Amino acid sequence: MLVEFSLIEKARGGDDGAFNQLVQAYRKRILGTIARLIGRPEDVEDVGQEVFLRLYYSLEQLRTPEVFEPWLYRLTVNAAYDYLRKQRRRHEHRMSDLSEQQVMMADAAAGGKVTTEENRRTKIRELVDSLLGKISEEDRILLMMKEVEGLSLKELEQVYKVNENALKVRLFRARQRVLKAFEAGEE
Amino acid sequence: MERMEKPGADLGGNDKLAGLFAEYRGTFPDTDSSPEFMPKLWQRIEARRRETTSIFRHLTQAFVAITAALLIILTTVLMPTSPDVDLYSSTYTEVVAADHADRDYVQALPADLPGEVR
Repeated sequence: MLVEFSLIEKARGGDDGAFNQLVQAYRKRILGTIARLIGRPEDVEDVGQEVFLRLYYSLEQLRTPEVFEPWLYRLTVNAAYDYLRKQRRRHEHRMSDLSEQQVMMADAAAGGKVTTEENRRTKIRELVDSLLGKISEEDRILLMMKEVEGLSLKELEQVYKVNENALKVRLFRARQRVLKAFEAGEE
Repeated sequence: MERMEKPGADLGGNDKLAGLFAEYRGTFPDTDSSPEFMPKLWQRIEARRRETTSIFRHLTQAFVAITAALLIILTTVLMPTSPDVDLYSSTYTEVVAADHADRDYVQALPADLPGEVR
């Protein structure tokens, strides 16, 4: 936990100052997770604000401060889903809709400024994104929460409110599919 | 039905994949927010609060209007017609007399009985 339970209790009791401290403490971590889940840096803050807005209005429903982090992750995952659903509906790929990062990459590529390190990072991202594209969005987010964000099965159980065995099966199948695609790509 | 393979059957591939995920995480720069993050967040919180209050106020206004209309309808339709004022200002015998005023009464006359001497 990044904060004391007493701070969560205060925020839950309507203390705006305590809520501010809570946001300050978790902001960086949540924004990082959102960045990896949605893949559009320019929208990360907007989705992050949506997460903390939902937190503000649902904090009083939190049963105990011990489950605060899974609760916050749950809100994060749901906000990311909602964002991705909206994006899928738009589904237009004009230049103006490309992410800032993509535009920067395109500009840099045009100017020949892409460094080797940037190139390597881009390739890794493209590879993982294409591998994760082989599974459903729900499984992709679940797998990322486990493999990239490093949440334990116990934590995921609290985030998804599904029993551990069901999660294990879902994770295993998703991972196997990704692994097959990875190995096929290696051959 | 997908065949369930034993986890860890292919440790080589699994390890490589785990390494790839770790590298993937490292490709994202640390994300920190802009200075406007908190002010904008509070603006959104306030906007939501105003929206909720406004919805509640509209619901209350609608409820009051509907209640008033129902009250008027109930008053005019369901209330019993007002009783005759005389009922309260007259005596009992006057009321009974007024109630029977339209009736024809037969006056009782002494009967002539046979053999009766007057």
